[in-house]
Amino acid sequence: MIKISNLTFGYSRKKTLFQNLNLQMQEGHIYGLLGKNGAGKSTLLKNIAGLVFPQKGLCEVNGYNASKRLPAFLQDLFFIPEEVYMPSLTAKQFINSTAHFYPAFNEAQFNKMLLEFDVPNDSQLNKLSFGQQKKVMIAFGLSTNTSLLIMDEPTNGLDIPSKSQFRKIIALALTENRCIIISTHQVRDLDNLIDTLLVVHNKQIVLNRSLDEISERLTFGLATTGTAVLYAEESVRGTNTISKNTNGSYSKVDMELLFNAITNEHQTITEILK
Amino acid sequence: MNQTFNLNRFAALFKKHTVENYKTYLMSVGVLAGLFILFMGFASFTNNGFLLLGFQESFFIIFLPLAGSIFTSLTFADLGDKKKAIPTLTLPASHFEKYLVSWLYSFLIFQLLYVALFYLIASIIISFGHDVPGRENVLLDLFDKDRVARMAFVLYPIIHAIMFFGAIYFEKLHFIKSGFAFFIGIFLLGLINSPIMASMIDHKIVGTTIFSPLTITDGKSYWTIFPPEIQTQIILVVIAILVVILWASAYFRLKEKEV
Repeated sequence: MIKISNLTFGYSRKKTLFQNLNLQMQEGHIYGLLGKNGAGKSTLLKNIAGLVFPQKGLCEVNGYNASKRLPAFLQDLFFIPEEVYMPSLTAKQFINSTAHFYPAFNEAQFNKMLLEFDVPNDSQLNKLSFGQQKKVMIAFGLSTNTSLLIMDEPTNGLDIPSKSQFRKIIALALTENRCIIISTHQVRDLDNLIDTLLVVHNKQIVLNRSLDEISERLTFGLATTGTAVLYAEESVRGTNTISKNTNGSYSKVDMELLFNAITNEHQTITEILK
Repeated sequence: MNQTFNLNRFAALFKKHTVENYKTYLMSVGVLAGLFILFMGFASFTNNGFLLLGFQESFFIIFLPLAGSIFTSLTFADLGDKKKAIPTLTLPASHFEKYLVSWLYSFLIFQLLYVALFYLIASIIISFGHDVPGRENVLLDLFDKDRVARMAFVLYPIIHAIMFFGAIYFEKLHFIKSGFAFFIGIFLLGLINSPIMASMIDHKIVGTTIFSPLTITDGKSYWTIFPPEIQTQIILVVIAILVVILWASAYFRLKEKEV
């Protein structure tokens, strides 16, 4: 569905953010995109949405060159930015003016999500709080039923109950024809939500594996004797560790620990996951 | 479905733009009407209820490009604001359709509203005045061949094209930056005009500005050389080409817009 080939991008010619980056993403998955501040998470998403253009290489979505921003490409993509803008319209008016640009838009689905998010549909959208505006945009984005949904830091500004509702709604919105990409620096918000982890670091995608694949190769847990620990971090519960999965046992992937290991240049772990 | 222009998609985009901006546009019309009432009302009041044709004409010619340039400079303001630029650029419509909506509003609809508002307010003010024998209180005829009011419609496309391009080229302070760029351009053209003319004419040039007749002197006499009629038309053609180039550049700038 998404095919990024030899992508080189930078906001200036001298300093590039990505160098010959290659990446493929498929329908039926929820991708969690992680990276340090300034690593280029938002920029990668903007490349996919055609909001910035590569210096070299190509970014294709459903066979369309993203840079051309053709209507056929845009009507099957919805981008929810970190900071949303809402016009001075009610939710109903917004639907009347915007929904018909998306052929698969489902109004009943939108109203149901607004109800779940507890957002009034008769208020002027620009008068709502930031969190509520974000919820309206998330509900709208999901209701467009586009095959690609991109969310940049979607949980920023959401309160604790809304974050849990968000996870529930996203999980329900995933279909086998849909690809959802969520970029965040709040790894905990992606718990029990994403199925594939992407890590952007040092101008490259250093990890693009499903959680199952990661779990098959690595074991996460508190330190025990007799295991060869690859990476460890102290916590209040003890020492959290990553070790090689040698016996095929299952352990829940500790995304934060794994992310720290990778961004701390732990080559062994990166090599195991390649 | 055509990826460059589709009438249904364009109509939907036009409707969306209107619904989301009509309050701002109505307020702008209100401000313009206020200015019309203020200036024309004052002119009529200080002239015993008589609204001079010359005043109507000057007012029409000065305010059309002035108000239009302010309005046009804000046409693409959304693209300078990341929050607004992302939904604008990712909305499923072609660049041409997005461009056309902005062009229609700032060029065609603005001029229609300006003319309608001008005549509405001028006729109301005139209706409050009274005719003096031998001096009739009349409305300006834009197509009167003895007057230059219609020149406003020649001037407006030039100003519009400059401001329209500036609106998409600059991210912020569109009006000031576009106006500044325009005056710098005029200044530089004026600066190089003299030496270019001097290199072509073997007489002392008294003074010349761009697109104007040439005055030369031998120290005793002065001659003003007017261009032949065909050259005046060439200047108009050159200006028209320049306008089209600026409009086209604005379109390509929109296509290349990044956030």
